[in-house]
Amino acid sequence: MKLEDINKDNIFKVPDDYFENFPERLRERLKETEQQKKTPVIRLRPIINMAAAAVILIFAIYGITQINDNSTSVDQLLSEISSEDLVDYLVESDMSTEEFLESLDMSIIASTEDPISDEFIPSDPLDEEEIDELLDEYEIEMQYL
Amino acid sequence: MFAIALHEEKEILKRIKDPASREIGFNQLVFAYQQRLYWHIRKMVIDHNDTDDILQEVFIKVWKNIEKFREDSNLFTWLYKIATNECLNFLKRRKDKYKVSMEDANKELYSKLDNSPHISGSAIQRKLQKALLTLPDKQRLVFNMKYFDDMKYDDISKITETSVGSLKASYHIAVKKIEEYIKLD
Repeated sequence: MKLEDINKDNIFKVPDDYFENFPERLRERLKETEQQKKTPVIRLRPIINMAAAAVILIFAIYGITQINDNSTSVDQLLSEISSEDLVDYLVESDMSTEEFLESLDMSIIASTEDPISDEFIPSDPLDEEEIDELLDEYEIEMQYL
Repeated sequence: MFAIALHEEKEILKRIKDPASREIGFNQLVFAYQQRLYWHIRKMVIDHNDTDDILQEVFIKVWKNIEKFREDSNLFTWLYKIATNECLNFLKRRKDKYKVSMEDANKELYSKLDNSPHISGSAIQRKLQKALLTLPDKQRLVFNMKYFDDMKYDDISKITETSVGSLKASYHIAVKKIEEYIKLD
């Protein structure tokens, strides 16, 4: 069977009086649409955007605080370690003072209020006597240095 | 393809542009075009209630955008274009919503073609509609406008923004597919 053999008549039907009533129904719908436009509507999207921004801000502040806390805790941790322990560590690890300082995270040193570096890098060079005193104090034998 | 004479169309537009007679002009536009647009949509979405929803949306868009309508273009082409876009968007949304293939989405429509009180016709007429549902939406649209509405390729070209050559090829392919489908038992 070919296409042209099929009756082209419309097989779809509409409910009775559909087209007679449609313009009136449409008018009602348009009135509703116009009223909705006039009624102040609480727009959710900006509120959601603001809420999202607030949440991000809270997390950002919390994150920064955490980072600060971390550096503080590193500082605290280091300050809790006695100088003897640090020297012992250096001796055991066969690490020179310079190497130890290099291995330290410079940003942590920079952020600390009580710089550990001061302890190791005195502003004035030590004289022979002071070095001997320190070596005696920490009982470090010359062979380890 | 013109539903009303050009001078009447101009008269309606004049009334719509004047705030004092805007509503009267718009009502005349609805009366003049509702049936042509309804059938254009109905052939695409099959279901009467879906067609009714889309037709309302089309006229709401027309009401809101009539100021943008350029008088040098044809009003009926403009209306048809809005209705066509609404139909294609509706069909796309339906497929996206159910996340199903075209074949699955059409099963429901096949059943409507056979059982809806708002659809009649002989078995072969219903089979033709089922064959049409196997075509891609845009190809079906072109077929409907050419075959059922007897529209000129030039007018279909303006509505679908597709070249006449492509439309002719699309129609030719659609006819071949439909005839193949109709041969099946």
